[in-house]
Amino acid sequence: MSDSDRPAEDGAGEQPRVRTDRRWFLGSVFAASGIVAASFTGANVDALSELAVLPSRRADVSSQGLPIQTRASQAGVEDVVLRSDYRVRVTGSAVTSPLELGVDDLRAMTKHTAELPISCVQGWSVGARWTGVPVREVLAAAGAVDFVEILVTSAQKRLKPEAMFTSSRLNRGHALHPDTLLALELNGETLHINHGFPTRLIAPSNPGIMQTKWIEHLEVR
Amino acid sequence: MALSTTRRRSTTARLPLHLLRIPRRSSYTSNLRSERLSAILGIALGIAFAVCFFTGLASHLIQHPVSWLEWPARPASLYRWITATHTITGVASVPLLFAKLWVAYPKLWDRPVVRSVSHALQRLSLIPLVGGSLLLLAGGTSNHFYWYPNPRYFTPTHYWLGWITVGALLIHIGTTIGVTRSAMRRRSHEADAAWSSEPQIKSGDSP
Repeated sequence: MSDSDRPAEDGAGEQPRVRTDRRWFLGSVFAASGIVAASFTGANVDALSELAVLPSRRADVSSQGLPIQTRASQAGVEDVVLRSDYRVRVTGSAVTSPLELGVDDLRAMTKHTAELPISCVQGWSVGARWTGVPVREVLAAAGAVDFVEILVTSAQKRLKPEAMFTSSRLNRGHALHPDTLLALELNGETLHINHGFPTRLIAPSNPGIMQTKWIEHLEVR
Repeated sequence: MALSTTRRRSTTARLPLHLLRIPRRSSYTSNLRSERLSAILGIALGIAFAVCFFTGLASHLIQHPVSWLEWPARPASLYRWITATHTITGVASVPLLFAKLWVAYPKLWDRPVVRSVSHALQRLSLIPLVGGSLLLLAGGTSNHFYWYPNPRYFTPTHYWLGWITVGALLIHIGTTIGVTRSAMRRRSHEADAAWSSEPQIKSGDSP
């Protein structure tokens, strides 16, 4: 077939069929795109989790209703966090009375319950109900008023210094939000060790990697 | 002897030598391709990439705080929407990108190779644009599945590829917006028929 034949083939007689074919082509491409998009929407909207056929994490493959990114054994914290002398230290330049809080101390403080999602940077998110001590209650107990941020550090940082995301910075607005918690319970149960027992950070509108687990130290500065 | 000569000749004839010839746009005979189809896919990809870029940038700024922005704690699900939108627009771009590349790649063989300064710029920008787009979508997808074939840490690579790709995308839009506009504006018969012939060279031509 020479090039000179082609205009005839693209001529008016063929045109309606070609246009139908193109509509099918474009329709198929948009459908493929839509199916993938719907599946990943299912990984992020709790009510649509049934659609999440393609994504890697699902709400129903989890413990306590929440998928797990790093297990306690991977973080190397299993022994440390179960010891009776486990403490959360609250120190820093803005702290007037430093604290060392054991699990029972935390449980004895004013508690608050909030519905907040874990939103993972890997592209899944799941809503959950958290109960714990508001960070602002801890700040009040430590006499911290003038501060810019809190550096929240996990026991994992001491045990696996090479690991990433073992601490996070909590800005002032987040720290003072009533729903920002040192969480002790998840969906009505004591926080599972893989979810950060004895306590983990949960704050509104932050990435999952900043919701530090197995908290050992709050540096208010 | 005569038999073996014949056999040798027929083997030579069967070698797919035509594959070694540099193709032209007209070598691709599917009449599905059209300027309008390319334009529609380009617009869809442009929107998806823009949303994906800004949600990705927001996520970066949350994790690398800057003095001029204190990330708000309200609404509580804001970050959830940002990261979900980033993921969804990213994965939705995969079929769109492959379709766009399939529709547009015969243009790669247009001759003359360069028609104008703007055409040269458009062609050069395809290297970071196509390379960056493919690496961004492949990297984002592999990150979702916790698979890291790139020995470098994922986030900085993804972040800088985002800037490179968006820069190249701006050049691409700047140099092709005329073609896109006319493909969307012309009566469909003309836009559909215009594909298999290469543009006529005239002075001051735009791609």
